[in-house]
Amino acid sequence: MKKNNLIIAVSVFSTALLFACAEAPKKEEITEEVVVEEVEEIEDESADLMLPSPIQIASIFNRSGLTYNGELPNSPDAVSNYNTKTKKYLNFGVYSADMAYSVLNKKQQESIDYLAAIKKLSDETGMDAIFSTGNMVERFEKNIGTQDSIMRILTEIKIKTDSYLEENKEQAKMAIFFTGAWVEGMYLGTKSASGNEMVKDRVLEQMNILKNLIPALRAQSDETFDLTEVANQLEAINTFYQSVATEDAEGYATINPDDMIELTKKIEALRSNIVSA
Amino acid sequence: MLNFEFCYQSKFNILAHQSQYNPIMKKIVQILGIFVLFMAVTAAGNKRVSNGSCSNTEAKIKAIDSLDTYFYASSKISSINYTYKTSVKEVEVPLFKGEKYRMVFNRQDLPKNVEVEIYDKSRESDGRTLLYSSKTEGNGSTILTYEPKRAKNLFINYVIPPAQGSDEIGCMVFVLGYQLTFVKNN
Repeated sequence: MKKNNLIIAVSVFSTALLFACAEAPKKEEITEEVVVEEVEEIEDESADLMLPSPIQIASIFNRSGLTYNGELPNSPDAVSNYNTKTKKYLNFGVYSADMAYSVLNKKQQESIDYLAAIKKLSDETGMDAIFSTGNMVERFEKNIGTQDSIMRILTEIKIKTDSYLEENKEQAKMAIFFTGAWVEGMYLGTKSASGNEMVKDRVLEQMNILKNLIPALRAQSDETFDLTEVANQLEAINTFYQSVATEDAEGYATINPDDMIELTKKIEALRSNIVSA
Repeated sequence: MLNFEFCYQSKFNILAHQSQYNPIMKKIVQILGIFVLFMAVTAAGNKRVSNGSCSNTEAKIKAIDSLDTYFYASSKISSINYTYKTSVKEVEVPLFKGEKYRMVFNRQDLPKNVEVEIYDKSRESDGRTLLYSSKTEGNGSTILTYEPKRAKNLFINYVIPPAQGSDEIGCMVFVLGYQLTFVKNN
């Protein structure tokens, strides 16, 4: 009898201990078992967009015959003029595109100057972690004559930037950087597209990104950014493009030369707004 | 909230101590031990699910490694919410004409496998074509790779199975790589 009592006591004690130590059940866990329906339910949120790499966009333009024009990129000296958070973020993207443009055209000193401008903006926006490891500036300068190595370092910077934003739950800001890079890439492309059908095709191909980039830009929850004007300008560009673009037999976009000139002007105006102090 | 590891350790210690005094206790200890072990394993699993913070660099690094010779273009780490029904999350991937790409998916931070389907059109479009399905081509692997034959905007659908009993969360890591063909030419 005594033994039985002991067994019961130990069992009760042990079981009680088990339940005491278990994590408090969530409300959902104590509800009745749900009968799972086989019918597929579609999430009603809009599709997530994966933003492309500005380095890749630059390489695509480069391969399609985009010639270098040293007067087009934003001057790295202008970096000191950007005093607002919005300008710093946007021009981080602008300089990323300019750096890729310089690297791909083997402009060594320009490439180094753009890297310095990017580093300055990353420091000023609290993203100094991007350049704090890996001796990237030193490696960049050391390997400046080797295009393959430089492209790998640029890719490393891109990975670190993306990871920094992911780790700090600031992925939404990727859209701001990308906007700067996209506008600069399109500016360089449209200014050189005249007479080059391949570059023109590549410019039009990039226009597809706008339909998702604009909502991403408007969805910024950080109210310290002032992106309304840039988003409105992008919206106007997209509206114009959608009204004039047609599809060829293969499903690729095409527009007539006059509309291309108009598109170039609109992009130039937006770019001017972004790079101004 | 009590610390799991401490609690389970305590349970084992108490039960082991009891078993020294009575052989009948040994059986109870064994049964309870198995039960405790089962609980610990289940709890560990749940902990992984509930800690589904989508900033796991380890999973992303593994995915980047699987790009092999392709250059990193961008990544998208999606938070996966398992609800009471099967659901679908769509990611649009802009790909450019004539370029070569590799897509890598790492499912290591998912409590239950999410199937990956890739289409040529969005889910709102009629007559879209399924280009890839992890169900038929993934062999149940944690890391999936896909190289599209024709580069045009693609739509990735994550098919999320229902949660069991309660809502669960996890992370899907997606990394896109591109072939930098011009480097050699220059």
